[in-house]
Amino acid sequence: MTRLLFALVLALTTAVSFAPSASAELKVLVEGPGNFKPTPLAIPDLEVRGTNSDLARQIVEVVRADLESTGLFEMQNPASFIQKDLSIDVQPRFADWKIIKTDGLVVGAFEELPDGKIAVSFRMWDVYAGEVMRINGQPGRRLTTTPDNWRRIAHKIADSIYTRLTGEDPYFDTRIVYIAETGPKLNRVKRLAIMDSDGANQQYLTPGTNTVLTPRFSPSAQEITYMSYEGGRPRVYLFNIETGRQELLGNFPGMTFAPRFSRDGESVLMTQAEHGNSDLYIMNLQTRQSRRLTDHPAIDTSPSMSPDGRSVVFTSDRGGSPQLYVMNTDGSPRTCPSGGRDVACRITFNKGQYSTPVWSPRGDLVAFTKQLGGKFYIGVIGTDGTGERLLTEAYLDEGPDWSPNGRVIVYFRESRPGAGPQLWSVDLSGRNERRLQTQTEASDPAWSPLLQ
Amino acid sequence: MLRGLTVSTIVHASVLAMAVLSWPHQKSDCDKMIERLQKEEPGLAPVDILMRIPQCASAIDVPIDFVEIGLVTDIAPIQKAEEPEEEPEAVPEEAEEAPKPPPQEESAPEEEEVVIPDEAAEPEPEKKIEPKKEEPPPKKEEPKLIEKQKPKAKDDLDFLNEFEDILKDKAQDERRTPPEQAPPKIDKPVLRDAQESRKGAGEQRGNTASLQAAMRRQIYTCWRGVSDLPKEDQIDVEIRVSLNRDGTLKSNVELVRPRSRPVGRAGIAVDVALRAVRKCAPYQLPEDDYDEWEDINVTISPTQP
Repeated sequence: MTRLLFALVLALTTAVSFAPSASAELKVLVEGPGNFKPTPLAIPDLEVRGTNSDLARQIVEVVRADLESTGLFEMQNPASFIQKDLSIDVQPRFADWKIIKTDGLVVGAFEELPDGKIAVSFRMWDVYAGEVMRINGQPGRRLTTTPDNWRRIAHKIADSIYTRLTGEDPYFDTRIVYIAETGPKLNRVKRLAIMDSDGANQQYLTPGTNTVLTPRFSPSAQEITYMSYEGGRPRVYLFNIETGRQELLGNFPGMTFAPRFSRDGESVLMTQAEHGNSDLYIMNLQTRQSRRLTDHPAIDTSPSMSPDGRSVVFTSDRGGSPQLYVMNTDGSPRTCPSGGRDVACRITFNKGQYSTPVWSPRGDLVAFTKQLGGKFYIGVIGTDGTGERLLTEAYLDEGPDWSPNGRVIVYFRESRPGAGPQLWSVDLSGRNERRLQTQTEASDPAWSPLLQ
Repeated sequence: MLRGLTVSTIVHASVLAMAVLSWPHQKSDCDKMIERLQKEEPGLAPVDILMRIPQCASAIDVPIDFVEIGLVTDIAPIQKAEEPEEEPEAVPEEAEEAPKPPPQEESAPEEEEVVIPDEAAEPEPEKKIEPKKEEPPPKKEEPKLIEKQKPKAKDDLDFLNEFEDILKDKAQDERRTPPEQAPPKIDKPVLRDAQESRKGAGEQRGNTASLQAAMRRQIYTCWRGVSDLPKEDQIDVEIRVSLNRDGTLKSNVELVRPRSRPVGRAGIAVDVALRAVRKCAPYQLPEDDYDEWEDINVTISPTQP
């Protein structure tokens, strides 16, 4: 109550005393894109309330690594920290953190609970403002889980920090499926594998008796669709991660390949090829009814649906070389950005061949593989064909897929002729290209939705 | 005559002694604490200082950031809010039912945690007050009011004159106040007028442009930009800054436009702009022109070329 009174009195007095100076202000206008630098963050070790200080340290290391991997943050060296007596219960000495020029400070505590679980609480401080940074309106967070699940706590903390500082949706607490490749070129074993978004916890999902390609994660269930050579011809299957069960999708003549879930997870789009012609189909997973999307003598493949479900982007050589086209999911004609009305509108007109389009989760961009002059590129383009940007370049870069927040693209690369494929990621700015470490050579990565 | 001189000398001396002993002692109490706080935590906003040493309210110049104070009223609801938030936080795979009992056990420490981050956290002020223990708060307030007016109005001669008065007249206190109050009242308006007219002239002066350029250059280096945000969230941010002569921030900076941090990604644009302005201090500007750059209105416009 007294504080409130103080506040009132102060508010009144300052309102009066400040009125005159308002007109004496020097006006400064700062314009331009800014001076991009990674944001310096200090994440000291957790305060340990218990005995397992190793686990506490590992958690912080994963948080730091996650944030650093974005290229948006610079982790301050713990050796430079001046204040050593941090506690989550006490406001830090901001002056100590300004000296090392850190923008943000994360203070956390690790606890071992009586029931064997672990809990991590943390708070973020804005060093220059001298105040706590609220996360979803809260001045801190606390997460609990079993000790063997500790990596998820770390990813969730990193996600909270990332989201608070960038405004982007989280993406660390996710998984990536890919094709693990082993053995000599002529007798290659290709198995479906899965790992955490940071490359930890790698495991195989299929035994490798049949070659598996182009896995895609369901946006809504623990399911993957891929193409397998089981039974001698390539066909699209559905695979449940939890049960390990594989199921043939549809009973099409010829081959089916290049599957991808619709954004609501209720349908799978794919390509069906018969007598040398390939066209696009969509199959509803509930009813198992399929519908033909394109009927064209050219090769149509690699369909990817927009988040609103209304449009599909795909590759077609109907114009003479592989290019990207956009069509309405219901097959009705649309007004093309390049002029005129057509069932499918071409959106790529620059030099080169375009393939493997993937509509971004945000809806405004399409990621693609481009081939030009003996090089491969991963790039993005507006869905109306404007603003093409190439993000990577290599001897072979192929097969992009989006992180669930639409900020990062994962793909695979062969850096030179004969080199095995590796997984890489790049952010939308193109600044931050990184290799994802896998135990084997790896291709065809696909990102899961955020884990629940 | 001689005796009169002796008496006068002794009396003068004792008055001076009293003044020296009592005046600085009383005066510096609050000021000292404020100075020390500012030294310890240079970025500390006056509001924060106020919260820690509320009894010194009258000694703190607070160009206020209303938002900061508003937060205080939020404290109670927030404390309660944290607990429910944590339960869904439990990583679900194993933790569906179990998490409920632990949070309850933890609830006591939890509440403490919540209190701390906010400016009005109680443990903080207590700590800072420690040096003051000897004097009970009510006593302090009275001397303060007097001090504040005294030092500004008086010089040594005043003291002497005053003391003679005191000797003659026992109603010292009553006399003291009127002469003290008078000078500041006159001073302030004079200063204000002077400032205003000077400022008017200042705008005509060529160095306004160079001061603007100097500020712009400095802020730009601290501003990381918001090019990663969608275009519609790259909003202009207008901030009011008051600087000390040494280029340090006088107080917390004040958000002018938007008036408060927007929810969603546009809030990031505000965060980044505020951080740039705070982080860039102390600013390097010519001290001679201090009256021109004491108060600055900064607009950061990401989408302009």
